[in-house]
Amino acid sequence: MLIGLPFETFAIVGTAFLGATAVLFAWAMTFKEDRA
Amino acid sequence: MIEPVTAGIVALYLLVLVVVGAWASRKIHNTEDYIVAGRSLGFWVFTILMISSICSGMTLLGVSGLGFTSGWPTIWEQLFVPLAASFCIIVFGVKLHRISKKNDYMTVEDYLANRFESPRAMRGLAAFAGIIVSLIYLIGQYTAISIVLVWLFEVPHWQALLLAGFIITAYTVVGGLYAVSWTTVIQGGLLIVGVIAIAPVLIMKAGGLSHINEVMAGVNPTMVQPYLISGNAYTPWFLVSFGLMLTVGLACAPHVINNVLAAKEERYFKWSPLIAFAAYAVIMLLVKFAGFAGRTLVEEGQIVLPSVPNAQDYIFVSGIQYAIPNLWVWSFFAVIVLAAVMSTTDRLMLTVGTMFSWDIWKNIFRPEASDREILLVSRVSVVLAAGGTLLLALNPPQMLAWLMWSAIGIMLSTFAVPLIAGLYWRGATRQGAIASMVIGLVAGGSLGYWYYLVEKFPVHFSLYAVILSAVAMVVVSLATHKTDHRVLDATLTGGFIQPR
Repeated sequence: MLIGLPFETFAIVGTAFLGATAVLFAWAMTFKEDRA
Repeated sequence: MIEPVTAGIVALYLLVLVVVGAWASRKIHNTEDYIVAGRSLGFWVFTILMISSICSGMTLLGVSGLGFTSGWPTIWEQLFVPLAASFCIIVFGVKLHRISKKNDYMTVEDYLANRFESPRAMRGLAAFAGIIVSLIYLIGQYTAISIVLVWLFEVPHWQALLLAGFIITAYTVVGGLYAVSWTTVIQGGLLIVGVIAIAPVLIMKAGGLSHINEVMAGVNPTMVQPYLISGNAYTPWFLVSFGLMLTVGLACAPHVINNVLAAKEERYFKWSPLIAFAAYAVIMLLVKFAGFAGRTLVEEGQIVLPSVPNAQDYIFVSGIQYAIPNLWVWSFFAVIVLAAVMSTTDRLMLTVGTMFSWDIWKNIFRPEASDREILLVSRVSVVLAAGGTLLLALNPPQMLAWLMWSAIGIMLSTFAVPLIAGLYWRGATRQGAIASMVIGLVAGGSLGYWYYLVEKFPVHFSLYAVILSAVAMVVVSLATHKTDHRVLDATLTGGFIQPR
C-alpha cells in the first residue's frame, strides 16, 4: 500500500504520468529549430 | 449577502481585466494584431495561453466533483487534458507555425483552404463547423460562469450572466488576442498560484493522502482502482476512447489550435509541450485530490454538501470553507474560480469572431474588404456571439456536462482527420477532406445525441465518429484526383513532424 493505494493503482497511474513526462522531455531534447 | 471584502476583491479583479483590455487596444493597428496578436506572443504568454484556453469553466468545480463521486478511476482526465496542449504544439504547432509565418495565415482555415486547394468550400465548411462547436462550448462556459457568480454574489442568474458577459465582451472586443492573452496570463497565474496554495491545505486538513485513500477504499474499493472492470465508463476500452477525445479533440479545437499561429518564435515549441503539461497536470491533480479530500470530510461528517442536484460540484467550495475559514482566502478563491471560467470564454468568443470576419466575410463574401472593415465585423461578431450564447445560457440545459463533452467529441470527429491527414499524408485530397469533415460533423452530432440521451456505448461516441471520418478521408482520397505536388511541398506535407 502506497499513500493508501493498492500497488497496482500506484504503479499504473505513476507509470503513465512519468511516461508522458519522459516522452515530452525526449521531444525537448530532440527538437531542432529551423534556422533557414 | 456577499461580504464587502469579497465584493471588493472581485471588483478589483474585473477592473484589472478591463484596464488590460484598454491597454491592449492601443496595440491594435490591423487585423493581424487583432487576430494573432501580431504573431508576437512570448514563451510564457504563449504557454499559459495554451493551458488557459483548455482549462475550461468546469476545471475547478467539475474535476473535484468527479473525484468526489468516483475516485481514482477518473484520474486519467488529469493526464489526457494536459496532454492536449502538448499534442497540439507538437503534432500541429511545429508545422502550422512555420507554414503560417511563410504564408501569412491568420487562422487554421487559411491552412486548410490552401492545403486542400479549396478557398471557398473547405474554408467555409471548416469555419461553419468551428463556429457551431465553439458556440455550443461557449454556452457551457457561460452557464458555468453564471453558476459561480450566483454562488458568489447571491444574485439572480440573469444578472450574473449580464455582468460576466459585459466584462468579458468589453476587453475581448477592444483588445483582441492581445487582451485575451494578457488577461489570460493574469488568470492563469492566479489559478496556478491559488490552487498550489489552497488545495494542499484542504488535503492536509482531511488527514493527508494516505488517510484519504483508505477512507475512499472503505466507502467502495473501486474508488482506489485505476480503472473499472464493468459498466460503461472508466473501463480500459472506454479510457482509450476518452483519452483520444480529450487529448486529440481539445488539441484540434479552434480556440486552442489557433494559438500556435500567434507564437513569436518556433524555438518555444521545444520546451512549451513539457512545461504546459507539467504545470497543468500539477494543477489538475491537486484539484482532483481536493475532491478526494472532500469525500473523506463528507464521509467523516465534517462537511455537508448542499442538497442540490449537482451537489458534488460544490465539494471544492465547501471543502475550502471548512479548511480555511478566512474571508480573504475565500475571496481570493472566488477570484481563482472566476479566472478559470473566464479564460476559456474570451478565447472562444474571439475565435468565433475571427472565423466569421476573416474566413467567411473576408475570404468568401467580400474579398475587397479593408482591414478596418474586417476589424469592425470581427468586433460585431464577438458581441453577437456573446449576446446569442448569453441568451441561450439564460435557460441552461439540464445536462451542462452533456453539452460540454459532446462539443469536445464533435471537435475531434470534425477536425482531427482533415488536420492530421492534411499535414502528414500527401495522398489526402480536397474531396477526401470535405467528406471526412462533413461525415465527422454529422456522425459526431448524431452519435453524441444518442450516446448521452438515449443509450450509452461501451466506448465514447466520438471514437466511432472519428473512425467514420477517417474511413471517408481514405476512401474518397484514394478515389479522387491527387493534389498538385507543388502545393504539397509548399505546405510541408509529409510523414514527418519537424520539416526536413
